[in-house]
Amino acid sequence: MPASLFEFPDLQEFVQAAGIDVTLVDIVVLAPALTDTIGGQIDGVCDAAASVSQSIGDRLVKGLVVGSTVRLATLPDLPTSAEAGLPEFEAQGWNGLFAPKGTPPEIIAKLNTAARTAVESDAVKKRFADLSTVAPEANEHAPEILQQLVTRDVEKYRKLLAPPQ
Amino acid sequence: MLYRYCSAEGVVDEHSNINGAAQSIAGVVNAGGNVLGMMPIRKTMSKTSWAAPTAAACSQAWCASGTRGVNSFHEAAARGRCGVHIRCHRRLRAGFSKTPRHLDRAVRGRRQFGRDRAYRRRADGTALGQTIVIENIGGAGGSTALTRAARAEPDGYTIAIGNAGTNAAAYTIYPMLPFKPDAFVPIAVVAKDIRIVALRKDFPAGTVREFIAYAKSNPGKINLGHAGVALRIS
Repeated sequence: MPASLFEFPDLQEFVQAAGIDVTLVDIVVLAPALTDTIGGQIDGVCDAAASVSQSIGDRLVKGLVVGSTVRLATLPDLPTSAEAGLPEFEAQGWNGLFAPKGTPPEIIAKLNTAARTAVESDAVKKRFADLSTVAPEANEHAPEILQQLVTRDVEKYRKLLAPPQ
Repeated sequence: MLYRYCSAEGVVDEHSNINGAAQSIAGVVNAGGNVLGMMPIRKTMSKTSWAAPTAAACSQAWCASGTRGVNSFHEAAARGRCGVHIRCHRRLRAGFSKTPRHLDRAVRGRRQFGRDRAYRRRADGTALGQTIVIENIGGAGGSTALTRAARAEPDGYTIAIGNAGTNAAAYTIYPMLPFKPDAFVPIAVVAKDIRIVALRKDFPAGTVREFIAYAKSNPGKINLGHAGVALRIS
């Protein structure tokens, strides 16, 4: 069984939620999973909306489901997992900024403010929207929120990726 | 072990170990001597925010960064501080059309390979008034980059972009990972991304319901791909 740091766990969630038997294909380098889907060498792909949405818009591939609770503004016709009958498939990832342990709190605070300023700027908002990427909500800017996601997901993947006993 | 990263003088040190490789290994060869494996070299990119802003804005940003009481962009430039650029800056100077000659350090951001677009926007550096040099460090699904960031000076000049893969799943996938969750302090969530499942356009199913029905009547026949570094776990 192949595993990937990134999309594999999400793909695994999709497959488990759907209760189906499929072959998962390792795609070692950057974009070929999508390229191979466009080319028809493989049947489908699970990847970030930022990577896949444009190809769906261009009708190079067929969008099946988006792993979120709300539809994407860029692909309003694509059903959410709950609408498609797979509420267990919730594949919303996060990206966070980290500093090495020991970085002084006042520097963390300054970087946090800068990050917040950046993601709330119109330029970033527009770019994120174009990429079907979602900015954190107003109450999700604190460093503690990121720590909670790390703690939660370390445990989540420990269970999901544990070798069968 | 055939090649190791070293300085121009031939000294193997952490400074020259640009990929954060274990024991600075850059290339290995098999026992038979006929198969050579080499460490991929990172790609380095940069972007500067200093090309456009006014001198006043630069001055403000410069003071905000708390750098040695220099209170104007012109003064800073006049002092000709180009001699104190850090290593990565010197390396990149040829690539800058408008190298910020007055910066004595660059904020470095690290990110996992393959997640560039959402982050590139963040490298403008306008919020910090600092040039940010993005180092794209490939390898081990982003863990190579995070390893290097974990070892960096905790002075705020090196930060890393991580995600649920590099900073959560990695601890299970790579049990020998040289950093633990407590190697990092969180700064902020900067983006949330959503996964989509898409099919080749002539696939004989258009909805999840149809897809599941097809998959159940054709077990093991469907190939689904995922981007990212892969390894076999069983």
